[in-house]
Amino acid sequence: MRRPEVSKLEEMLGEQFGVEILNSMGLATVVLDREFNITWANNEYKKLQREPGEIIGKKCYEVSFNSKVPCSEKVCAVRRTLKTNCSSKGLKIIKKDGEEKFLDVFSFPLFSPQGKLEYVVEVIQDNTQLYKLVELSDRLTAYASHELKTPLATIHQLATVLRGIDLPKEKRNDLYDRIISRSQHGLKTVENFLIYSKIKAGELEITPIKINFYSQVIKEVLDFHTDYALEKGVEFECEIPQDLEVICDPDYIQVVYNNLITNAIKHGGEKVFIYLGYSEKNHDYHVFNVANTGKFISEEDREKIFQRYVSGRERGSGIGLDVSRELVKKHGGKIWVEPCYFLGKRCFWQEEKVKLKIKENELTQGNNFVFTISKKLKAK
Amino acid sequence: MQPSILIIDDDQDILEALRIILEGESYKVRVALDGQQGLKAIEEEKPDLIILDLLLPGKDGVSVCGSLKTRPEYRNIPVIVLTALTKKMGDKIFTQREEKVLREVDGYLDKPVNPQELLIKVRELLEREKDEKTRG
Repeated sequence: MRRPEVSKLEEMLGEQFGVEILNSMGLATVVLDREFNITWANNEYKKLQREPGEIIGKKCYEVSFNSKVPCSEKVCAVRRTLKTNCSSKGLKIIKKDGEEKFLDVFSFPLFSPQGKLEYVVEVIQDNTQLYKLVELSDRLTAYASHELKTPLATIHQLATVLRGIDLPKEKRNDLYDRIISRSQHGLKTVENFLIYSKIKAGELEITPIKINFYSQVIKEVLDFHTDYALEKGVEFECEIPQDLEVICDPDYIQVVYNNLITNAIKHGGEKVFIYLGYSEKNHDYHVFNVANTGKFISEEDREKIFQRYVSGRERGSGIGLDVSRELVKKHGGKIWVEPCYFLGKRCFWQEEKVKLKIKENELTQGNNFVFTISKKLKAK
Repeated sequence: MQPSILIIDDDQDILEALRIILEGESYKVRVALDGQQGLKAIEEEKPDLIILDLLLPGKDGVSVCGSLKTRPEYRNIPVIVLTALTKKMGDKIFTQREEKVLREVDGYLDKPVNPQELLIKVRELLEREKDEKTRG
């Protein structure tokens, strides 16, 4: 049996500190009567519901969901408490000003001295961030698995053929090359996901150093893509000065180029032509561009393609452009895409086309990805 | 004359692997990289069997199947659907229309394909087709 002084102490604690403790914990708390009328609410609750006015006397479902009827017992912890006289918990998803909120709800019965359930206390923890992170992580896992499945299935297919069929040496070597190329591209996909998780964790740091841009970035990138490009019939033209010096993180800028080139190969259609350029005209930024032949990206999609998981259905992770944007941002720059034109190997922008009075039907459509690196970056 | 097989898949490495498997058995193999090209190849020369990937750029595998089944001259060409997308992997939920079209295909094989399974399926379908033709 409880000693009387303990009960007294508990009563005093409840009376004197209950509300203060609830408020200091930053948890939205509301007390409802049996008819779901709000009889008391703390400031956190009002903030959460974005209700600047008086809410006492209003129905909780009206305030939360702008609804005229109570929620079903399946989703409403309060209703379950009213039914069972026991505490309950649940997840409530509300939409406020177009923004979805994921709320963990705990409901407790409040009995009268006669032991009758008169009120239900609802304590709400806004776990929107947590739920969104879990959702993102689930999506990322599903996406990564899917993206790795394709190269792995292809590598498996090629290896099965190599093992099971007696082939001439030349053919065998061709299949080995294909396996190497596909596994390298699979590794690049993994690299993108690793960078992406670093970005999400806020742990991405760049190490800028002064480099010869051509030999430490461009040559590496072109070497990597040569085999795959040959297989796909892709042609490159590079007009980046061989003596260009840039302060940047060469590993990460290579990732940017790899993603842009992979993207160009994927979406450039047959016989892709890729132009790598540089403009020294800007005083504050190094301006690089990767232009490729291919249908214009619609105006609406020009921003969207840098968002997570927006991708066509061909090879590629769909987060490559998003990762590139973050990496360029870390270099104090920006990335964007604009339409361009090709006349043979010559790349034109809209203004130039107008100036030279070339008719549109004489030109091939293309897309020009431009990214910048701040000239103010300091070498570490 | 050896039966001719058309493979429609956008993955050139898969195309090459399947070509090697099938040419090893002396089948005449042609390839197409998307649905549109595939239909064009069928019109140019009617194949004895089609191996079709479902996820294709532009006109996808389901649309290609749909087009074939609505044309009497192509309706009876056996089709093996080849895809990394399987319902058991939960990758894609097919719509009712897609399900209806896919029910009419003659066989499914998951990527990566087991060469023996592929050859057995191909032989079986070609023989079935031959028998049906003989019966007239």
